[in-house]
Amino acid sequence: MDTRTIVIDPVTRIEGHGKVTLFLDEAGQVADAHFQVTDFRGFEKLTEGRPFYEMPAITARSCGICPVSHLMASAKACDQIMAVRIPDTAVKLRRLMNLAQIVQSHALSFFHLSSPDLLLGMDADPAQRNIFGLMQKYPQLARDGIRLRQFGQSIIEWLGDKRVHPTWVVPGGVSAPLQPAVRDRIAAGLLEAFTIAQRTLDWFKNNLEKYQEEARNFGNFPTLFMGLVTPDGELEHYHGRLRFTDANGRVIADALDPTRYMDYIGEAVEPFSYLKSPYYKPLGYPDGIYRVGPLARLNIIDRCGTPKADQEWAEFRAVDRRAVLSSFYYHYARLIEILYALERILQIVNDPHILDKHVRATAGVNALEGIGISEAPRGTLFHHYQVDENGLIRRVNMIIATGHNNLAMNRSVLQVARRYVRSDRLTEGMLNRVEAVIRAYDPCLSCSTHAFGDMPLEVRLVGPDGAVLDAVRRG
Amino acid sequence: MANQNVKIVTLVIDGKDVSAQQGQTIMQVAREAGIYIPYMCHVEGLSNIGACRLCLVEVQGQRRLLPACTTEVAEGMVVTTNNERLRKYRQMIVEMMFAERNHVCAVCVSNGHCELQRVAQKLGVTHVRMPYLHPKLPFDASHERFILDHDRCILCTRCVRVCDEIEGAHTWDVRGRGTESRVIIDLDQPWGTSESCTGCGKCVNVCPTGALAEKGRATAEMTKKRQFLPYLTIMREEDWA
Amino acid sequence: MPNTLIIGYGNPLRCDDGVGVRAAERLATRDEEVDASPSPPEGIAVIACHQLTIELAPLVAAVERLILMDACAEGEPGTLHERNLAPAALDIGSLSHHLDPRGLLAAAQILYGRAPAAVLLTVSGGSFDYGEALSPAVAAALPQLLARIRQLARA
Repeated sequence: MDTRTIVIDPVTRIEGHGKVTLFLDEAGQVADAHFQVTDFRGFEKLTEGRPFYEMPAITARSCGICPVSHLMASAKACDQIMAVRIPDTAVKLRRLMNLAQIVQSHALSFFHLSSPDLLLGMDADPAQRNIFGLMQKYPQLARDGIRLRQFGQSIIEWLGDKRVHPTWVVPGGVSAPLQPAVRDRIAAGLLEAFTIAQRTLDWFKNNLEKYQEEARNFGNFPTLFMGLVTPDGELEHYHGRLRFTDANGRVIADALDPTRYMDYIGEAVEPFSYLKSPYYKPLGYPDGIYRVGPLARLNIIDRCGTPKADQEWAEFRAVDRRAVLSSFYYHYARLIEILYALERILQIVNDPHILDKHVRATAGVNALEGIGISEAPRGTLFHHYQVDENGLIRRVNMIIATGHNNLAMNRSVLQVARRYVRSDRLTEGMLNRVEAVIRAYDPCLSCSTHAFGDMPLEVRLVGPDGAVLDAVRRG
Repeated sequence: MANQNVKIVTLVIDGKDVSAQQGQTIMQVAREAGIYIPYMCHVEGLSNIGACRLCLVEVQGQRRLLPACTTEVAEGMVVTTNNERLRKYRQMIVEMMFAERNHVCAVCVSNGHCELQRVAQKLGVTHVRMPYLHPKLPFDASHERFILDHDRCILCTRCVRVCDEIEGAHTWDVRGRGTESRVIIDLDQPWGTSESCTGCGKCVNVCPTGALAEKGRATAEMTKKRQFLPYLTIMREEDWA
Repeated sequence: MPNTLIIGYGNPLRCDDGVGVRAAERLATRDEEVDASPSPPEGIAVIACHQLTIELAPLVAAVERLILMDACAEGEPGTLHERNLAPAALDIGSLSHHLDPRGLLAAAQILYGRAPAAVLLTVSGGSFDYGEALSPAVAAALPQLLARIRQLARA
């Protein structure tokens, strides 16, 4: 191996690899850390010249993990190009699918990906610190995870007739009304889902004491937080206005028109990463660092707006006097959001108008620009389209949740590395913690599924002269 | 309607004895006998041009393969519509259709209702062995109600024929040769500026793929109505005097 | 309730990696003009998916027999391999959330108390490039794979 160069193999860009490079200074201390992750490439280019109304189906394929989120943002951008107010029932049905996506995605992140770290400990034998170790020790929790994720997935499947890439969400609304049988099936599954969500949340809170070390070191630093809120300042995932709050929990910008995002979000480009680094423009780069996603959403709101989630949220915010700053608490926030999503799903299926047949507005091209914004499980998602007078795409810009968190993830990896890297060798405990802190953000690593094997995480330790001192590959 | 002057011929299709009227095509007779021959440019109710070559069949005594849609039956003919050689030819033709333009089924308005897709499935086309050309083609969305997506066009010219033979407008035509061929509107101009187009939508309904579709249809939402065509043809041929 | 579950998995966008999925699709949906063999008899369920996920564990635990179909990288392209599987709790990737076949059986065993008899059929792939096409050797092996599956399912 040529130890002088750090080769960024282009293959890593298309397979969804995560790659971490740690730079040591003369004194052998970690000076900097770069976390590189795949982002969406080419979608902006390949959609040029296509009719705008194909965008939901096309952009949904930029990701097999959160296609529903792309459907939402894309369909909303298309609604703007058509300049229509879509039927109220269509809004509720889109919300329903988006909430189901949050349930399934958060369940996957918490139960399947992160719970082995949380339950078995960072220093547990790696042979045991996996999903099987977890199943042996906590079978109930593992079964709960399977059931809860399945519930979210099933709702998406029932609504969209397809689990991964549903075509049900269309410009102007949804393509078919809700069937009474589907509503009843959703309603029937809610009781068990609530029980699981509450049981897991109670368990997590009872064990919070154990994680003080992680909470202190896992991305624990002041940043801004961004997300959508309702006009009343409540938790919102589908529509609403953007709000920024600071590390003290103070609102620094509110009721921002999401369609003017370019006025307050800048995008810096770092030579080491294919991912752009967005920042809050008024504070400049890199001081305008902000976080999005479950933790951010629970930090920016005045309340959730549903009874069970509000009770949990009050406890959550008591974790810190100011904003909840440690990224470790993304896990906690996810569990509260699951509970919130279930409460909202219950409201929607009980809505007297939810079976209305009028669920789609039709219109041609009435505006040459459309910006659709929604909250994906991982954070705020922007789709911005410009079209010609016939509705053919001229320009596309997408800002993805993992992108917003790019700066914060890099800083978190650096914090963990400084705390745990002690020499010129990478240790197991160090690796575990780097992985765990990245997982806290639940970044979307697998934007393209690949033939076999995994999306490996590669960690490299680079000396002051640029020599690779150690490299470990996982997965 | 039986005409006493019509001559009846007998022939064998796939080992089955069938009788037919003289002047009928192999395609017609096979269909009446319940034998499926794949096709793409043919559509019931329009003239046949034998262009797509999907309906090629073997006729005993002929070295060349003959298109079933334009070959008339004859007394004593022995026709084979399906064997390994024909399957191979047909698969290759379908593969070439896919390779020539940008057929992205997953996001196509006609996904699930597409004749090209259906034929590919029927023929067991699981892969395309020749390189895709990936041409950069324009998209015409200038018409108020319809779109023309050259990416999905297989140049079957059904649109050209229905517009000429049934609607009588002859808005559509073809320009260029080989891979440069394209269906065009009037003098190769945006659809929305056409003076001759009546906006009847017949071309959209006979189009086998998503190349012609109604505007605003989301993925898989474009279903086409074909029933009108045979009726219209019969009505036009009827002598009302 | 089915007593046999057939799962074909892989990525159909990576050529031969999708052979299991293609086979499952052929077993699940039938076009008489392409394939004249009878539909899967009652008691047999077919699933086509990209990966073996833990969500399959409860379904696996509920059947008497599991038949898995996948591609493999080793061997002459188009060669069919068959082996019986026993549950084994092997972790195959700490950042991922899918399982290997024995892991799926182990999950069924641990969480739901039972794992069915299981057999894994793999076809050696020739190409794992981007593309939806099976390479000729693998395409040619597909009928053999389907015949073997039918034979196993009937047994």
